[in-house]
Amino acid sequence: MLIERLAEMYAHWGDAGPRSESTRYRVQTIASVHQFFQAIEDTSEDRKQLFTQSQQSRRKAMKLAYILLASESEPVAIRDAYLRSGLLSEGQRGTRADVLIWLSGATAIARGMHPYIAFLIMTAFFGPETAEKEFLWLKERAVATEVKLEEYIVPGDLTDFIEEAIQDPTKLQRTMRLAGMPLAASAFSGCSLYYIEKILALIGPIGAFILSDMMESARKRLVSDEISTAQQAFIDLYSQEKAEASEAESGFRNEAEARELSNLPDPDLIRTATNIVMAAEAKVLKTTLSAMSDNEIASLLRCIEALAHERLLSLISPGRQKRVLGVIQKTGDRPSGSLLRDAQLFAQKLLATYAPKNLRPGETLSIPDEVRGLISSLLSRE
Amino acid sequence: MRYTGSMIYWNADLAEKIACTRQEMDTLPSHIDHLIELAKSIDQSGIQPSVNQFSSEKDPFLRYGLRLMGEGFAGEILEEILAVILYVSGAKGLEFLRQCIDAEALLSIANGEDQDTLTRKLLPYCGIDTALISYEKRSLDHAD
Repeated sequence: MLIERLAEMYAHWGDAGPRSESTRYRVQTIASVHQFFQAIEDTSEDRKQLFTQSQQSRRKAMKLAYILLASESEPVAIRDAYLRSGLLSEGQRGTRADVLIWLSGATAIARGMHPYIAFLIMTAFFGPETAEKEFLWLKERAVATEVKLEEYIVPGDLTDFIEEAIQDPTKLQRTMRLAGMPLAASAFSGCSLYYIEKILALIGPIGAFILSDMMESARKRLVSDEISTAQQAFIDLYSQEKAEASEAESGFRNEAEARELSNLPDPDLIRTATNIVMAAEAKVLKTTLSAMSDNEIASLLRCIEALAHERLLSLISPGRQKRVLGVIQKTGDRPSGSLLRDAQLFAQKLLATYAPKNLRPGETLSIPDEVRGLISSLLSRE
Repeated sequence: MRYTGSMIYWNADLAEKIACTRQEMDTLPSHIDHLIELAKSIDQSGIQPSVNQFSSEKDPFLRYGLRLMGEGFAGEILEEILAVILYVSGAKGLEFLRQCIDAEALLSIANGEDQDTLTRKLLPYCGIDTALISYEKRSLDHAD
């Protein structure tokens, strides 16, 4: 989730701070990014050569990126190295974002991302206008740098599939985006040049260059059986997309199975807890929250969709909001079993709020039917 | 339809940057309508990489996101690039919130999510009251 990733960036790095006002410094930094990009491309076969680059570099953050990549550091080690280096502390010449450019670039390469993608991530730190300008530069470069693929065909159903799927390019584009470039490249690497050309025409020059480059690499790394498996996976994904579209129309979806596969928290639980928060009267909800600890509210926030967060937070004081958010930042994800217990605890407390202190035997609680149904559904879950 | 519910890790700096007045948030549904129209158009006609399909889009953030999508980027990579731009964005308040909504829409469209899912993802950014009113209105319009 994008907003969550953004919040994590804030939690890890703090505010990016103001950008460097100096145009000269900015231009120099962009030039350094180009230099880094070129060095990464040139050393694709042997990263140890980056040691030489590190000796020539005057920027500390860039130098560190070269050294870490030359020594084939893992992404986590790269992050730790930057944290320990003190480069991200206050008082350095550049802004925090300037250092993060190199950290992100080095991490992207260490994660095995294509240099073009690392370049796009790094230039994103300059804001959309500059990033777009650099994107156009990269686009021209991609057009000029053609990847020469040779004819290499792995027999399978993919060729027939493309022939049919190309009739609906929008859907094929969507499946390619969903598959991601590594899978798409592995699958298409066994296709004839005729079909590869048709596929590449569905995306822009940068994407086409990356895909071609990855196809070339896949042909070197994978045996034909592996390419066949990738082809089948791509066809399955396309068919699945097709089936999902029909399922969405008929309102059918095997959510339990999908959840099991993706290891996500139970969506039905989240939906029920969210609906309770949305349906309960503000006054009752407020009283319930006042009977809950900061930790319990933080746990409850994990059980509900973003839609209900604002409602819940608006019912507690700003000081308490801060404490609850502090608890969330300090604690990690909770297992799905805990989510159920947390949601049930909240439901019990809500129920207790609805119950008058002088409830007589045989008297029913005056709970709105919708809330009653949702609470019993939640409490009956195991 | 994909399940997208997940916990938001709140952060005080981010919360301050994203904070808007109620009046400002009331202007968001029309922006969301624009994004839904955009999603419809991409869903129907796809992306033509050979033409400058999105050059008329005035907002540089949205335009750049669409360009990236045209290159075949989605998922993790697109999210990472958009998150970096948002992280360094100098925008505050409504302007920043709109950028967050744009990013959420771009990701949803790129990942092939249907319009119902897109709407459910975007409307909560308008605040609970406006979101609920808009949901109801949209449901009624849909029923009609």
